[in-house]
Parts: sequence; C-alpha cells; structure tokens
Amino acid sequence: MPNRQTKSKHLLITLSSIVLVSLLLVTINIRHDKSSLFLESVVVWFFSPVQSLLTNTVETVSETLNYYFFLVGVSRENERLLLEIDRLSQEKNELLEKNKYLERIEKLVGNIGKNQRTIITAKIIGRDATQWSKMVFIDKGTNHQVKENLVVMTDAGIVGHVIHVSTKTSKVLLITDSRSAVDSLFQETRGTGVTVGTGQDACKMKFVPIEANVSIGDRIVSSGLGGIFPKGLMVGVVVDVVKKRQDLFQNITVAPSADLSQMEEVAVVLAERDSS
Amino acid sequence: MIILISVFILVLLLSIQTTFLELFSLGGIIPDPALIFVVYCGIHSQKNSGTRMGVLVGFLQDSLSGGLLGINTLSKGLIGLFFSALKDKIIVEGVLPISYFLFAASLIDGVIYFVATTSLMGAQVKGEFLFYQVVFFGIYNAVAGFFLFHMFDRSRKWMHNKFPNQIFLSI
Repeated sequence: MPNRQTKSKHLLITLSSIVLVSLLLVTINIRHDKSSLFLESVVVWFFSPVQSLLTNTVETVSETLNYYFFLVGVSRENERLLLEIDRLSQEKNELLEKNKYLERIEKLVGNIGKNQRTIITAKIIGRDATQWSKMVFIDKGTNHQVKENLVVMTDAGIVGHVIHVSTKTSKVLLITDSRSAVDSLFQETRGTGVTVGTGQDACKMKFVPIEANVSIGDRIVSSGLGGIFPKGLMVGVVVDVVKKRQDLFQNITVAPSADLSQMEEVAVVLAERDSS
Repeated sequence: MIILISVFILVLLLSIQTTFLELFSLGGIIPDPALIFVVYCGIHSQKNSGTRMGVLVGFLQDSLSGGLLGINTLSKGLIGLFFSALKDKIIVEGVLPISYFLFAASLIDGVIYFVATTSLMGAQVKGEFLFYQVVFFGIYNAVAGFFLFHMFDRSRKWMHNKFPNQIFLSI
C-alpha cells in the first residue's frame, strides 16, 4: 500500500513538472512575442546542416531516378552507346538543372526586384516538424541580414513572413497557417478584408460584407495595413464564394498565388527601396 | 554508446520529418515519427525514461516547428508519461494493440495542440476540419507506426546484442 502511494505521488510530481515546464515555455514564447529563445536557436542551428544534407541527397536521388526512368526500354545491343549517352545525358541533366535554377532565380529577382525592392534569394531546406503548423525553413539567417517579420515571396506572390531567425537559417510562417492573417483588398473593386490561413492548402478571405460584389477569379492583393506586408503584393485568387442571407459576411475561399507545396526557392524582401 | 545511438535515431527521425516526409503526404496529412518514437520509448524504456524522452522530443519538435513553444513538449511529455505509467498493465504487441495505442496517442496529441492553439493563440479552426485532420492523422500514424515499431524493435535488439551490458534509454 505505501508503495502504491509513493508511486502515485511520483506520478503526480512528474505530471506537474511536465505541465509546469510546458507552461513556462509557452509563457516565455508569448511574453517575448515570437523572439528567439536561445535553446530554440541552438536546436535549429544543430539540425540545419542535417536538413540541408538530407534535402540535397533527396534532390540528387530524385533527379537520378527521374533521369533513369527515361532510359527504360532501350535495347541491350546499344549498351556501350548508352553508357556514353548516359554520361552525356547526366552532364546535360546537371546543366539543365543549373539552367532551370538560374531561370527561376532570374524570374524571382526580375519580377520582385524591379519593384523597388531589395531582396535575397533563399533555398527551402525543410518543413514544419509537426502536422499542424504550416512553416518552412530557409537557408538564410542573420548572417544574410534576414530579420523577423520580413516578407517572403515568390514571383507569383506572397509566401509568408519570417518568424524566427538564427545565424544561417530562418523559419517562415506560410500564409496558409491558421495563425497567419494578411490585410488584403480585391484588386479590381478595392473592397477590403483579411486573408487568413486555414491550416490546409487554401486560405479564407474574412470580413467581406455580404453585399460586396465578389466573383470567382478575382485577384487579391495586400493592402499594406498591419505592418508586415507592403501594399500591392499578390496574395491569391478567389476560388469559391458562398453567400448566405442570414450572414453578415461572405465565405470566400482563396487559393494562394504562390505554389506553397512545390516551391524550391523564395525571395526575402529585405527592404522597400525609396522610389523617389 | 547506446544513448548516442538513440539520440542519432531521434535526430535522423526529426530531420526526415522536416525534409522529405512531405512526399508521403496523403490529403495534406503526414505521419509523425517523433510521436511514434515517444510511444515506443514509453513502452520499452526503463522507469521514467519514456517521459523524459517525450519531453525532449516535444521540445525539439517545438523548436523545429512554427507553432507555440511548449505545446509539443506538453503533449509528447504527457504521452510519454501515460505509456511509462501504463507499460506494466498493457500489452502492446501485434498489429491491433500497436495501432490502437498509436491512434489513441495521436488523438491526444492533436486535441492538445488544437485546444492550446485556439485558446492561447486565437487560431480559428473549424470543427469538421479538426475532426477530419485528427482522425486521419491518427489512422495514418497507426498504419505507419506499426512498421516503425518493427524497425525500432530490430534496432533495439541489435543494440542489445552489440552492447549487452547497457540498458535501452536509461537517460
């Protein structure tokens, strides 16, 4: 009996410790408004080389597999020639990849940079460690002048904003995360609303009055309010509108203009240059 | 040495989870190897090591995610504690028990996360979305977890053969 009591006491102490440690972490996180906790930075710093290595390995393996699929069904008689073609194709493939990479970077820099913006390009090296949040790791950090709350985008539009920075990597909260909100307006009608994440692949445009004229295909841009996203950046396109008479606001589904699941490189907007 | 190998497995799991696990996404849902590892440690480790491993895994996962720091520490710690406390009273062998307990652990994990984010951070999550996400997440973990459990079992046996005088996860 006393043994059982001791066991229960021990269990209660462990349970209280877990809750206490978690609450302490939550409190620190909330009080410091998403700023870096030293231990968190250490973990990110420790994991980033492994993430980079794995990402590069997976890319190489996938490129090689894709390459070999093209060779299925080729005759054995041409083995020697195939080996030669193999080598040349591999070289060509590498060059094509490099070319495609440069094209993407050129497109990013051309489309974003021409609008009076100072940007740096970054590679995506990892994704969120949990199922629930929508976040990506990029390979640029304080060493590259990246700071918290900087806007991250592709040539197609807004991707998200930086929420945590370490020396060589940063965390970017995507606009599809349920905690993300972008004050937005319709490009044509200039009606306003807030684009919020849903935790899935699409976003919702909230607080659009029921009488507002909205139709599928309408483009949504950032309004510049809220302090993070500058005005006029492409957010997404309306893909579904539901109006219910009894509601005050419309239920609008928005597809992000940037392809958040396929992107490999992004641009971090360091500063908006003075147009004058 | 055995601790080093366990830490290596953990680092590998979390690195995989943050890099190419997205390739195995079904309907936007990916399994959670870290959660499966915590359940495994809870069941197979000595005394309260499963709880400590749960807290450690949770903290690492918090640091590698965009969510609020402390939420995964709480959920994984509780799951580690739950299985550490119950390991002598339950039998977790065979397809059904393993899948059942992994499904239950996933439900606990998902519910804690959503309660915390909606209450502390004001995130707006729809009920049906929550239901769909958590249940499907549980099913996916239950299926993937069965195979991972076998891999962990094999690794543990290999470690015991290699280092017979050391205890698995005696941190």
